[in-house]
Amino acid sequence: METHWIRLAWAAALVALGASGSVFGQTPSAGPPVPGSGQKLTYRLDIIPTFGGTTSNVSDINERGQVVGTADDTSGINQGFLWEAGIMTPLGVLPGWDHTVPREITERGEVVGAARLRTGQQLAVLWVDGAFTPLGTLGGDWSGAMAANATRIVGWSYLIPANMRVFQAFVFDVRGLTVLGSLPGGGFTSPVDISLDHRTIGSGMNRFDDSRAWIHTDRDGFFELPSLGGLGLMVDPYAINERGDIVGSSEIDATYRDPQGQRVFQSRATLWRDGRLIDLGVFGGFVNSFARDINDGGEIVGLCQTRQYQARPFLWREDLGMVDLNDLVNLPPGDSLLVAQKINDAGQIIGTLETNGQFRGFVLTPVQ
Amino acid sequence: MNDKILIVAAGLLCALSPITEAQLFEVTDLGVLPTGRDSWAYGLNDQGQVVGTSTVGGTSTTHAFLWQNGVLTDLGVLPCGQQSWAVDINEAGLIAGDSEVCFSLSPGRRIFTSDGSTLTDLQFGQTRTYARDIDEQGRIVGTIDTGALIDFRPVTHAVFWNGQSDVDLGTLGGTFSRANALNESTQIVGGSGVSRNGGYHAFLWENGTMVDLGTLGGRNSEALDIDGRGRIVGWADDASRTRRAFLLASGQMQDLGELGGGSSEAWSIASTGRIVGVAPNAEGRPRAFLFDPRRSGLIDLNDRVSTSSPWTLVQAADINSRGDIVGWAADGAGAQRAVLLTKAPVELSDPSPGQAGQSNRFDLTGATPGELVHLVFGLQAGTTPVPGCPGLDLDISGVGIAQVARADREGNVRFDVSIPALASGRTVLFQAVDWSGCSVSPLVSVRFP
Repeated sequence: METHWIRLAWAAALVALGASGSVFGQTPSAGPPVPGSGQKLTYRLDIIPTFGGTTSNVSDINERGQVVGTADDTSGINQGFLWEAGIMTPLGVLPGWDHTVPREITERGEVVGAARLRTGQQLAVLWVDGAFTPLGTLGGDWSGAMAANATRIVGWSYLIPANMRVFQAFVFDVRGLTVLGSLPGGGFTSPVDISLDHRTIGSGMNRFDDSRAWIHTDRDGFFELPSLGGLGLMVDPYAINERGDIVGSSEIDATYRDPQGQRVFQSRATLWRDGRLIDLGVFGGFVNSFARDINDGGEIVGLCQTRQYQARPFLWREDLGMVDLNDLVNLPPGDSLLVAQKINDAGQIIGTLETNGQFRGFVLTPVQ
Repeated sequence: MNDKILIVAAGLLCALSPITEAQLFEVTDLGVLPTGRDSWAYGLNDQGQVVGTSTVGGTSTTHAFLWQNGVLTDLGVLPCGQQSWAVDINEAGLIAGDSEVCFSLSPGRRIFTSDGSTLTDLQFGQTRTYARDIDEQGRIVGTIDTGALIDFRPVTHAVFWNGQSDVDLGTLGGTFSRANALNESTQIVGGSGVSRNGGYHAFLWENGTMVDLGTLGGRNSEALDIDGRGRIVGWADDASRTRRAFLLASGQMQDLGELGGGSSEAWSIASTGRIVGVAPNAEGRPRAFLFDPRRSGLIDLNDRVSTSSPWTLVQAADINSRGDIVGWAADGAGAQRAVLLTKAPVELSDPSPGQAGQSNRFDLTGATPGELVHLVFGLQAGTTPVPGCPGLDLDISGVGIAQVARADREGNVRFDVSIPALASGRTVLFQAVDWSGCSVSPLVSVRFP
């Protein structure tokens, strides 16, 4: 309890001292022309600072431009933060727990995520204006909140104490915590996003231990989504927008081998739209792509990865195809954007960049 | 000649009145095992025995079940396992499924057979075997762990258990494969990774050779069932990257259509050529469908049950030769439940007392809505096959057609039949034929005074 308040005060002091990070406001000269507008697509870059440590990570951005994530302090401990217009506010910690790991921020500024111990054990929490509400578990000893809309939070929980194999999706609303259940035939489920009309998506294993993406509604229960690859291959959904478009990635079977002669599977950024399954492709020279978010305008962000796990963030639009975000921003020499994590309806993108050998969260804001 | 006129007249009547599909199937909720919330039915035989899996203890664990005569039985698990799944049952009542068994670190999986009381571990494979289908000889197909690992994941292949030993069917060049169904001619179908493009294709395995069945122009496909005549159903991506239900017969892969949501999957084909599966509707909601080979397009099975049914039919998994269907339905509050759809019986009323020399009224219920029905008659009991409905017989020999009519939206028909005076003092046998539903009413015997 005491430690908690000391840490909060210390972090607040850090922010007050102006540790809110450097801001690069230059307008880049390069960038692809936006079809029909005669304008170039460019972004302003903001870098998310730390609490004195070396690393910051971003999790989500809402329509107000509020960003949540985690940042290191001087002792290397990750602290949850809320960032808004250059100001970092620590989220604090739930008494008895060591860290806060935010996952998503709603339009009202409520944050969902997990309180975490150093052992890794975690508990689903809701944070509103500095106050934490633990959401509990479905009987097991671990849980995590993953996403929220105006009235519901979705997450996952272990069902049986000391049994890490059985976990399923939950919904938390005015009725409290309710299990969503399993895919047809059983198996585990873990949600990643929920739309305003309560369509929840997530990943899971079906009764054949096939990795599957699913969509769940109260009316129809769980329904498996198709994937680009066959069975045995992983599917990783990430986001659903209000149109019902879903993005994520699907593994495909690979015929090439790694340097050790082993077969390696490839991932492809995937868009599920109107019953169609669209492979968004991959940059030349890269082997994997992963889509992470889609906004209501249909803009998709994610990353491509080389065989050596070097990453490049992409923006995908129907009119542009897949574009490297590094080409749309003026970056300090030596810096590079690695991963694009989320995009809001205003087109602001958050992700991770490498700057001076350190990893930091970033915010890109479109510039007219 | 008169029949033709009648049929044409009936067709005109139909064209003038809008037809809405209405009740044809009765929905039976198969229930859940004690303390469970959800259940799912995967297979049934012609005796109406159904197998599947039900959760126990809320939603955390599932157990294989057998349902017969209204009773749901927990088939249990293999020693030391916690979960089991039953996938199919043959005409002899032999059930195939798989169950968890104990290994040192994580639970393994073994294929079992069951007569409904005890599970028999077939004891083949290494740590992971999964059952999909059983034939009349008790042979089983599914998947088997090959023992190889790629990216730290076990590589599984399609497997055929021929009663004595297991045969690894290999792949079409990719990493994984799965066998989904077999028939009595040892034709096995499933899906396999292909060496080109990272794709996954439907296959037919026959006489030791696995043949790539291709797609409808897209990347992936999978065969989910094969009937005794070698007709294959499943799903295949088309050129617009949409998953479509297909029927492969006589070398032609036919796109079976959709329910408005773009995609569809065919899960099972019966000897009658009827096909069931799942397709999203225009709102993107999953719907159980029926494909009737004598019509075009998919039928949303929710349009073929009583509107007062509390269930939304979200998946049809298997269909037998009687036309009964199993799958699962949603209760609207998040739970799913195994259901059996049986055809509502076609019943013909007795016009007693019959009156020769005037019009006699026969009422038919339970016919396929909007479809043609024949009222037939004869003087001698016997057997007359019904054309287009293999295995279906009338109980009359020397059949004449009394009247042809079209069922209304509730599946009801009223026949007003003029009985000639010379029928007086004789016994006449009547029966109704529902061509579309391939069903006949029980025999009605009328002695005209």
